[in-house]
Amino acid sequence: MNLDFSENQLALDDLVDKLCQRYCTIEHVREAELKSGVCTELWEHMISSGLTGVIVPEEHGGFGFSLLDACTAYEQQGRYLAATPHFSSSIVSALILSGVPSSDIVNNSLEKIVTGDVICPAWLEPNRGFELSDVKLIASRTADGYRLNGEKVHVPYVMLADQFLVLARLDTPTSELQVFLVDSKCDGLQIERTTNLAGDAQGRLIFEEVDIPACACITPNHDGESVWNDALNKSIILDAAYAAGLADRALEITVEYAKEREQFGTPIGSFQAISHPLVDNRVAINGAKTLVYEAAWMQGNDLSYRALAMMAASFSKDTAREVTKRAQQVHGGMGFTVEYDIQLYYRRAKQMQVNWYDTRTLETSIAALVFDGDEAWSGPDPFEADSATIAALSHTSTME
Amino acid sequence: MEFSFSEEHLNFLDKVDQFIKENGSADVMDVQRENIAMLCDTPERRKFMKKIGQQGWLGLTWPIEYGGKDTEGIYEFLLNEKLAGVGAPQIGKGVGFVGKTLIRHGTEELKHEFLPKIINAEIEFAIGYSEPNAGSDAAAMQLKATRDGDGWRFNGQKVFTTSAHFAEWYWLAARTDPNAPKHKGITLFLVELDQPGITVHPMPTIGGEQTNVVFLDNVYVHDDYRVGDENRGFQYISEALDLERFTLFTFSPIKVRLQQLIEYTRTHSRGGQKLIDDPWTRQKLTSLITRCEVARLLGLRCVDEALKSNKPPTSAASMYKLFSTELAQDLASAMMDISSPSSQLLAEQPRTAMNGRPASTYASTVVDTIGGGTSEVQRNIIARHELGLPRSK
Repeated sequence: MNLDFSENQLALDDLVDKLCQRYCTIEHVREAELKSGVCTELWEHMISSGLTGVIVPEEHGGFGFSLLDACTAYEQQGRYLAATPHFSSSIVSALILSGVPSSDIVNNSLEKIVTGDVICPAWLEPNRGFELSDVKLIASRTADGYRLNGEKVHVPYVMLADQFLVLARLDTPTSELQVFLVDSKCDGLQIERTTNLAGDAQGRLIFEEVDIPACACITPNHDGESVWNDALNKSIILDAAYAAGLADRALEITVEYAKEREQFGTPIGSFQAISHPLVDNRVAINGAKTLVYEAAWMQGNDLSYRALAMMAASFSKDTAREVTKRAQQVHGGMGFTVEYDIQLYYRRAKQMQVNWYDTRTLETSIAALVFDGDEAWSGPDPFEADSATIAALSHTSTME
Repeated sequence: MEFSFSEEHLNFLDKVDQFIKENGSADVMDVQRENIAMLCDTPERRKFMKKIGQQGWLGLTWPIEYGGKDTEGIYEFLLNEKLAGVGAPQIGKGVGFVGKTLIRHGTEELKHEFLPKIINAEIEFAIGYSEPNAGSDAAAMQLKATRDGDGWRFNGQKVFTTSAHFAEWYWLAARTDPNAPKHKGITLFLVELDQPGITVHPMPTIGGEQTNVVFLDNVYVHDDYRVGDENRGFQYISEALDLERFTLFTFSPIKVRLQQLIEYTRTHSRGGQKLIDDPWTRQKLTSLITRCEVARLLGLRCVDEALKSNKPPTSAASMYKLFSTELAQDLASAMMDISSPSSQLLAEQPRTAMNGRPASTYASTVVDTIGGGTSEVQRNIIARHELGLPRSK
């Protein structure tokens, strides 16, 4: 056992920290929220530093790092509230493209992700949830390809995207899911931004008779659903790391405030009604980070990680919500003025809980994986009792 | 980063498993004794602990010159977690508080008299710190020790002295300088319990744990049995507590209870549906398994930190203790709710769920957030050490 950071983790931590210090100050974040929703300078430097290929295999021009390596890069982005398409493009889309059968168009797209093209997943549909059975958008076969009709919502970084990975069904609403690579400049594709609680760059896509070539279906004779699930199940580990970083910084800001702000002639941080809940926040953040690392470590070692990744996402995002809720309370009246920074964290933390799987999906999926399947809910634990012991302890007394 | 234990550690655990298989029996191991399972309070359990001593597992972290093995602290953690998981007695006060403090601060005579007995499991100790008016504010203790010739006279009362009804020796803190600031007037002593002037009065608790009130009426102890310097006792106590905190609260019993609860929901139904298929139950279990893994990892953080630094992992230990004990109580409550209504019946009753474990766990975990420093004391430690917040008013 060794919980020290690896060289890769430290290097990525340092790199992202330095980039964010310069290009993702709170002023950048505020400006992004008012304008494009993107920290443009940061994004440009993430591309030029090669971070866009952080987990992309080396054969496609990336660094080929593991999710565990990338955890620190994501904590840092969370700390600075970095708003870039990195997660959507370089993590989720890169993992989807790495999971489908290799082809020219797929390989080309992976390489483009590394060099800075933005590819965003388009998945959710109006008035529906995260369940893949809710995906109804139809791709009808045509003579030389497919024709798409329907609507996608909550698509990240819509205005910046060069391409979308669109989840759709072939011909009928009940057929298998397939993944289509769709150019954002396609005729018939209407793109709109939608304003939201966290001021991010999401939007919706309206497909009206959008014709795409046959090679755009990147899951031919393949199960698009499992590719999608697999990519998401891995990606959420880094989403969880972002949430833990966000929570970490929100707590720091709040602790500083509690040391400086005086009422009743003393810093409010000396009141246990203030300090004790902040301690609970500190403990939860430390736990969340460690759970995130463990999930990533399990994934990297080919161990059962699917439930642990969801547990990490669920716990970490819940923690970010709890921390920011407490942060607002400690900041009192000032906290909900636009002038104070803490409200930026508060809004983003909640929005994280309803994106990249929501609380409901995470909790019900964990239950399904662990209680109906045999996914692990713990890392290697030599102290676990064996099943015979547990069975003996769990019976109901039959004594009459 | 590496989340599995090393080959060496796993080999040691295999040996412990083997030992438990060969030497464990129902009268020694019983998880349902909950918190008191750790005590060597019967002749059978003392015999079991002697065998552990014969393995060389007592004093694992002590220096070789005192009969120890000079190994890393993690081995004591590994051993105790294994023993706790099966409800066997654990290495405790003797090897920990008493032994380690004697090694650092005791006279050669005291070391000579006590260390071999500890390492051979020939002696049991009771710890006397708490008093009616000195709980979380331990330094407020008032039991008096006054000079009398070559020794000291003790007068006063201790409370919550677990083990006093079967232990031979008392590790006793007393006020020796009533005029000094409260932290600087306390001295540690070793006092034989079976002597005139000492009365041990049982103080039963709802968890079935017998703790005791101990009255000392003009008890005489020779100065040879003073531990370390006069008036520095409180410093020694804090130091030892810091070192021991992460081995004091074993985690494996919490996980066993949760595994037991999950197994119960797989094998029992309600309203014609297996409990494990019921959404309400699933949501509760999902939250519990997540918090359980977080607690386990906070424990590993603590061990990892202890392995790498000479300083005890003060904040990490407090975080682990705080989080895992609150979990233990919520889990107990969930066991009561999920296996309701038969959960209210005690062990050996007809038709009782999990042979009464929900009720026994519910009654016994109440002490977890109080003993060894209340949750509030842990939060104060973390607020100061980790968050750098001002001392509370």
